[in-house]
Amino acid sequence: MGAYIVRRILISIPVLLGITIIGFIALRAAPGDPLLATANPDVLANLAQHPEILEAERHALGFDQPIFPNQYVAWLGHVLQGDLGYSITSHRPISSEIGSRILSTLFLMVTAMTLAVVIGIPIGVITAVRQYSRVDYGLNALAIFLASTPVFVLGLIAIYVFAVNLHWLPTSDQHTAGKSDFPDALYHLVLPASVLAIVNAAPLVRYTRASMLDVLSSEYVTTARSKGLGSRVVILRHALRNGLIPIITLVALLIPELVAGAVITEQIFNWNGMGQLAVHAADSRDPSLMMGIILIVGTAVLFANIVADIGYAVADPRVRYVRPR
Amino acid sequence: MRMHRSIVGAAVAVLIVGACQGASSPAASPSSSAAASASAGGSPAGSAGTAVLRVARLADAYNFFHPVEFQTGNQFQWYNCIFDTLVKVQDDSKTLTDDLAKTWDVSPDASVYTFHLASGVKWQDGQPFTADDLIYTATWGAQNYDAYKGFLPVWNQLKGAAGVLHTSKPLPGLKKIDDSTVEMTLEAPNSLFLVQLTDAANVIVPQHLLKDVTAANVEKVDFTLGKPGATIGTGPYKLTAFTPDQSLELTANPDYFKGAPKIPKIIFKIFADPSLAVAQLESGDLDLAFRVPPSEFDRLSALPNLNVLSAANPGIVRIVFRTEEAPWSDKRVRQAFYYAINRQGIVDQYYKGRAKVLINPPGFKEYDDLNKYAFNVDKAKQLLSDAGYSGQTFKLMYDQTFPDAAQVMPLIQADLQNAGIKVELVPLDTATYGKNYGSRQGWDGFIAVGGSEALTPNKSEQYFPKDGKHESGYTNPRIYELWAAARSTPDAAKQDESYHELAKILNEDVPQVNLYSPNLVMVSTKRLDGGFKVHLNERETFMNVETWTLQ
Repeated sequence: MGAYIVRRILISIPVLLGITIIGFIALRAAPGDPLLATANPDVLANLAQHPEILEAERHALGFDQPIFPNQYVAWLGHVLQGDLGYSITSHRPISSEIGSRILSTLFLMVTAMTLAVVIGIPIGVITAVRQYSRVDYGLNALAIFLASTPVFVLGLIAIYVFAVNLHWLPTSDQHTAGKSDFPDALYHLVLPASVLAIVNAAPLVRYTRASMLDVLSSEYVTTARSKGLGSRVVILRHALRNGLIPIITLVALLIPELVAGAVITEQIFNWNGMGQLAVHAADSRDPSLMMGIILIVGTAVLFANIVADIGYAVADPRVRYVRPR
Repeated sequence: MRMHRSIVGAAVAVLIVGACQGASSPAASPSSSAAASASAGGSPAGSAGTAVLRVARLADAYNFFHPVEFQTGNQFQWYNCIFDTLVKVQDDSKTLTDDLAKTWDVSPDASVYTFHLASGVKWQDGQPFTADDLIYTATWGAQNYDAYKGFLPVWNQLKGAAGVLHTSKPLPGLKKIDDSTVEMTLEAPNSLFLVQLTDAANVIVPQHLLKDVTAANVEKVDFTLGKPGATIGTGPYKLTAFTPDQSLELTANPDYFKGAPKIPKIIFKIFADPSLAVAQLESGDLDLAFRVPPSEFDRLSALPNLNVLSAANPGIVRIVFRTEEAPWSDKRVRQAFYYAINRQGIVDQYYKGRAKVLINPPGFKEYDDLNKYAFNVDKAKQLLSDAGYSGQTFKLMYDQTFPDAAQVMPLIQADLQNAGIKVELVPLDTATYGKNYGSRQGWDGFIAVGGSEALTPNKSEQYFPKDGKHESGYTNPRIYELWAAARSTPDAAKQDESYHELAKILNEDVPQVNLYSPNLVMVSTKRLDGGFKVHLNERETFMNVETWTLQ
């Protein structure tokens, strides 16, 4: 098992390099000038009159070198020394740009995803066990409805109802203006986290239900039942364990979202997280900032894949990795 | 393996227990949020007690505090809170009031200005403000004039400024008479110098904190990046917290030399999406907002606790031509654009009257003898055929993030096609727009917006640079003489003569078609009082922020 994990990690390294190379080239090939991208339209006329300033800055940033390998190798060299560079739009170190946002995103996403799993999987199990009951129909219909509602619609409705009309919760932001205490942060977390939890729980309900139904009709469950085991034991010990295997993939693939953030939800709730940062970086053609984000999210994706593989192995003894001879 | 099984068993148990909590949580959450709302005490009223003014200006913000990085109206408002200029203007954007300069003398030919500085002024870190700070600010500005990336300060107008660029030499046009008196001599007379000084590009910065800063590192020092304790001015509010792209917290400076401000705290919020700000205005989480989407005017006007203002604004939407290339080099073709576009129709139907058709660049009077180019398709067709236009495609580039672009551009395209001009719309993202603008590639004309700061014609001069070319490629030696002539006289009537002739030339030659100027919508809570008034140039509104009150 240990060797298996080490091997999976080693395989991931070239994959990560590949991701960064493709990302790097694609970003540099995108149209647009990062140095002019953030200029206010009112001052474009001033800037365009001084091409020499822009030229000097381009040279200082190394943008006049060939993209591959020169610029890429220089970037990689810095990254290996732990230096992600500076954002050309904010002039701040990228590590601190990402650092401050990733905490906001983790706070939101970990809460939301935990809620989604905790709500979604048990409801999926319940609807499967009570197939064709009123509970099943009701919860299933709700899940289908929520799974097919775009998150921005749900978010805006939630803001309108709970914040604008009822005044129970804040409309947006992470803090009340001028406050930074933890209860206030929680108060602001409720709405976005609930919306995200609901939209992510809905598909989990559907998948868990389908997977459980498969397992519940299989022969070994019938055997277990006919042995006279209580239905609780049959469901929890025999059926659930096998039924959850496909769900492991789904949940593991949610991990990258924990650091990548939820672009739309963050936008709707003015949540200053990774999603908004990524949009901002792409919009302003900030190449080093974008690369920092690609690196972090790429790592998270690979990590999630490894976690999923390990999850399989733990949950299902048949999926045991055999060393090739 | 046994261990694995027990782990899975435990995980399942946790899930089931969690499920029970999860299932009960919908029931629990209303009660907990009810508690939250009880503690907030009906949030609009509750937050009034804390006396925090929450502000948003719904336009692009740029996260820097040194004037070399001054590009946006948001920064204008922040700078007015943190820093001071020598003189300020009142809400008409014309009448001068004192600031760091208590009084001033102007020579009859408007070329020598003597400033008598206010006494007892302190930087927010306790150091005294002196004439040396002013000398430092102006000298550094002239020495590093090409480091300014946005709006430009006036320091290059001082005598000998060109000679000190990229050097560390003193600025000849600047003389310290004594610790509280400074004399400035200009290279050429400029009767508008004082008004130009009120621009936030000319805020006075502290020598004791910035003396070692160079053009090369100014972008990365804490002062520029906005760090509490490092970004220090003499102004009414101190910077106490700053989160880029999110919020800016300002706290009243009790030692402000014009008296402590009455509102203890101001928070500027930066929104990714204007509709969020509208929701916060409705819910009472925002007290003052500039540049609210005009489509929200009616909805917000219906709310009892808000004042909603739809104010005329000189900022204009214009089509700039590539005048160096046929057939757009023929002024008859460009005039045909004017006749072909139903500008009044767009203003009436799309903007429902909350915009104004303008024939001149920002800041000019609408002189009666100018051709107003009233909508006339036949005339447009006639001009096109006179000029021999043979159906070349007009590639019209615009930044799709410009307000209303998605709705208005097809109307303009349809009008032009109707007159026989083939138009291809080229909507771009900001980065590509900026690039094509600079490289002059991929367009025959483009939409530009801006000039909202231009209440007087001189502010439009920056769009007609003497050393370079106008963004259309249009040059005409006479217009540079006229700008200079207007600057050189303090006599308003003579200035107007120059501007009038300028307007006529531009009206005839049409390097750009001036379309219309949308009103700006500003919303403020009725609790805001004292000296608060939205200025004609809305970005200047905070110039007397220390007199505002919040009930």
